[in-house]
Amino acid sequence: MEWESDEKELKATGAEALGGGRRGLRIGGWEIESRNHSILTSFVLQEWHAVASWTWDAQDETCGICRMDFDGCCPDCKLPGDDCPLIWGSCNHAFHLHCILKWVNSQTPQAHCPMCRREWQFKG
Amino acid sequence: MTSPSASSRKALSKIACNRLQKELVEWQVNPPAGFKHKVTDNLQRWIIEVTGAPGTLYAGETYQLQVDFPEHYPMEAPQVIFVPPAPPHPHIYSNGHICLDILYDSWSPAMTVSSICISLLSMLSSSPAKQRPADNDRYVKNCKNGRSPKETRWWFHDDKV
Repeated sequence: MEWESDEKELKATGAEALGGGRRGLRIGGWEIESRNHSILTSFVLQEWHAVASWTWDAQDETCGICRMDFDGCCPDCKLPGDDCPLIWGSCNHAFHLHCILKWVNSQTPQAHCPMCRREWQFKG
Repeated sequence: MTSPSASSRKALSKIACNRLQKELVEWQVNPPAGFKHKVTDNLQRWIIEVTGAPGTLYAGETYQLQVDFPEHYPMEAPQVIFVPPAPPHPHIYSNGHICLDILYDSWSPAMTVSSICISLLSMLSSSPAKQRPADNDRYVKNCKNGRSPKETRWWFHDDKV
């Protein structure tokens, strides 16, 4: 875990960095320091602000099978992102991996793309 | 005529439930022209009223569609039938069964109730005559005991209507 701090942000919350190569901060008379692993095993998140966002590079916004947002996840998953990836066919249509697998596995011998009916092949 | 009764069907999977709720919301915002969804608390069976398009053989006539969703919708097609009396049409049997490939072999999970409705209205609108399929009596006799049209081995031979 990389320790990074922003002096301004720390000061704004009434805290200051420990300094001297130590990774942590001093606030309200307490010193909170991180060694190899975090000393905090649980905490309540009171405020956060995003500094970056991500999105899948897909043309449609929703999966044609489950109709959920691509930036969300399929109905079987809880978390979007790496746990519920998108997958493209050779026809360039994208679906949640879990959704297209359910369709492909239910079709014998050959599955077709739900959008364009071309033979479904995973894009290499 | 009955289709598999509600009690004998398996409950909708989570994915099916989720998709149908989304379709229902989408339908309320943007219903397909000529169709009315009769609101019930049963997500697994939709009753939809269709009105024949102006300028066609069925103009102003209304019919009822019954759409039953399987446990694994949309990986499997819904069962779509007309509640008798069904419109007289060369691809619609008097028991309400519909010979339309997208309801069987050509189903795709990207299709929706709304897109099925549009296909059905197009099928009605392009009808050249109000008549039953040539094998209507034989087919309907074979379908006794409330057999589902999804169990029929359909032969799609006519791409004009």
